[in-house]
Amino acid sequence: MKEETKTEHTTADNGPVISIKGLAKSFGSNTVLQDINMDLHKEENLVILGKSGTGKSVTIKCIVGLLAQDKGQIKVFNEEVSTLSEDQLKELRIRIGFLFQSGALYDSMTVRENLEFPLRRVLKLRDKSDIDKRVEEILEGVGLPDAIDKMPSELSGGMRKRIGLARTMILKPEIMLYDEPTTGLDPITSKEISELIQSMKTNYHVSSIIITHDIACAKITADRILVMDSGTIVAEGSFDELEHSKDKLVNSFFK
Amino acid sequence: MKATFGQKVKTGIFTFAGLVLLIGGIFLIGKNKNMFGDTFHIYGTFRNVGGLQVGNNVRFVGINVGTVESIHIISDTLARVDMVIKEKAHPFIKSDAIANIGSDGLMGDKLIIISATSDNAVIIKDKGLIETVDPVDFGQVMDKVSRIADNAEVITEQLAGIATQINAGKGSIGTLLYSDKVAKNLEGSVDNLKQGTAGFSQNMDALKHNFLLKGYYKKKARAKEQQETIEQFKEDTTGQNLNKKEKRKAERKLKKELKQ
Amino acid sequence: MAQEIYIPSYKRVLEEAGNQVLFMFRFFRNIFRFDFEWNELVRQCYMIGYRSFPLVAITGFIVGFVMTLQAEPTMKEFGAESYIPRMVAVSLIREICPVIIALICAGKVASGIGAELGSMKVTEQVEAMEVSGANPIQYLVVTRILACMFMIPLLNIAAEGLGLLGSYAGINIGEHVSPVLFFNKAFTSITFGDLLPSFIKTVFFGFAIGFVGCYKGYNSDRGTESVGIAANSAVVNASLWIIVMDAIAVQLTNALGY
Repeated sequence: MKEETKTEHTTADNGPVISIKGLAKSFGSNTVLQDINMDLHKEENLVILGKSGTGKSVTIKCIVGLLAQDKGQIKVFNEEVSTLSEDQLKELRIRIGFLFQSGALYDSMTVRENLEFPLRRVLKLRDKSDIDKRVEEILEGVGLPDAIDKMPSELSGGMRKRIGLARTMILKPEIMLYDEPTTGLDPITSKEISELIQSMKTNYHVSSIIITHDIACAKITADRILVMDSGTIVAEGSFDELEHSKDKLVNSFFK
Repeated sequence: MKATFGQKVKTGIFTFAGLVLLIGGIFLIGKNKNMFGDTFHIYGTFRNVGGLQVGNNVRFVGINVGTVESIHIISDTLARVDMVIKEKAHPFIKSDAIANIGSDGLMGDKLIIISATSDNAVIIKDKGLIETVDPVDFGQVMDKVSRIADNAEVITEQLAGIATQINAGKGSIGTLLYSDKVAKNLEGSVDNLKQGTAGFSQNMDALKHNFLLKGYYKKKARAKEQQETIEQFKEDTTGQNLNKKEKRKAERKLKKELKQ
Repeated sequence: MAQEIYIPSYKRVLEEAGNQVLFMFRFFRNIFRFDFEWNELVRQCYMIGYRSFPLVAITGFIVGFVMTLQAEPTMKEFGAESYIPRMVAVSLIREICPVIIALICAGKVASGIGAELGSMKVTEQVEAMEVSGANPIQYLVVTRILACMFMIPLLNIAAEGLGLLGSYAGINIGEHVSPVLFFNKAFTSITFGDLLPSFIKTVFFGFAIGFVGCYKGYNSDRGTESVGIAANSAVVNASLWIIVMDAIAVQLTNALGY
């Protein structure tokens, strides 16, 4: 199959899948990122905690090449993102899944068409029964098999996130980037989504970066936590370590 | 989102209809410019084409049979005009036909008018030369007009002279208009005429009373009376709804009475 | 904090122009990419062409009708009523229909594209498409611009046809003229030199509508109000492009001798 060759592992098994060194980014006069250094290891859930507007989203957008960095290195699978050609970048993006804050469902299409979109256009699948099988399988995976013929406008916020996740996961990425997955959801739905993120790791063996300011989500999902403030990383550690941190800012998240 | 079958069909119909309209328009324009169908070419040379343009019509016996295809200057005094003519008109255009440039109405376009001169000449050849008459130049027209104006001036001057003589009572017209003598003579003649006609009517009265002719005049008067009575009766009966039989009976009765 | 950088307005204009040129290059590069989105092209043709047809048809018919009625008294004064069909046909085909239809479509289509792509941008759908490895330019932009380039000329042809029909109706209010005579007269004055530049012109108008709509939508800012701004500036800019292009086109056709 075509997609088998595309999702083949090309990295060394031991090294980090994402490695960021000295990342800086500013928009006009507004410096968002000053000096970011971090690594994402294989099959790890890395949570980045931070207030709104501290540049968390900018960091992960730099990773997928949606934004170009001003300074520093971003290596994904040992390849520098900013030097990739358009086609190479496309190849890379297939291996990275990105879940947007709003779910970013294509609202002119039904759920089925949303899920078929990457299959037809990215994996270039043509076989109808194969596509149907994959769509049903992934909807089963996110627990929404009944939503298949609904329009995005008919779905609740939590359902949209699930379908958004399904659309990203249908390409079987090796890395998942979650941009505020629980924002705007009630605590129960938040918990469900967080558990879903956790199950993605166990079921599909993905490495994830989860951006959030929701400590409940971090508690369920995090293997390791980074705390970000004004463009730099101020603390790093496991959930338990940071919970008992003496740092004022870090402490404020856990209250 | 996928285009549904209905959307595809509607788009297809719309596109098809638009293209048909476009091709139809192209065909209609082409037809007017003789681009489709059989045609043949002729050309003529003119000293002055008088503002003729490519695309102007060519007329033969008052029918548009072709268009002007191109106009070139071939020397300092001549312009060559190529024409495309419908093949249908070919058998009627003879080699001695004459082309001249005219215009269509007062503010109309220029056009070429081909006129036949004889029946027995041979048919004009394709790409052949046609004889031409140069159009009336506006300068020449002005020249003629000014000559006409000169003549008119002479004529009016002479007329003015005649009028002054008449006013002065000279010549026979002058006498007629300005002398009393003629008028008095005329009055006398009219009096004589009046007397003559009075005498004639007296003679006629006398004739009516003459016994030989008395019967004739009487009969004439009775016939007139009879006619009037019948008409009177008809008017009466049409108003009422008498049946036909009664009507005829009454009519006959009346006629009998009148005969006696 | 870095210092506030002052950017003069002329540089902003140049930046905008540069961005538009780059966007145009991306569009042209993506036309000839493998995997052309035929299905989406057909859908866009349906949305842009078929859906705009009623509006365009009514406009075309009324423009022809009104022009005839407006011309009638003046032409009558000169005793040149028989020139009305020719006059209306030439002015409809050369100038009035292409420009009016393009401006109407700028209002309907360019604003629609601007708003649609703008809202897709705001809700991160465009970025989602991009990071999934699909090609949003190919899927969203190429199909829309090409659909405009195909459909606007067709709409224009339809409007011209209906405009002549409207003119015929207008003439028949006052007197009876047979349709054969009317269309014969109308078509004697039209040449390919009238039809062809008008047709080519509308292809470019279609490009302007699609391109400006896509550019404004695709490059709209974050936030809900930017959707409105994108739609609005799409209409304004597309209309301006059309008028300027029309001025250039008339110079070109005159220079070429049509």
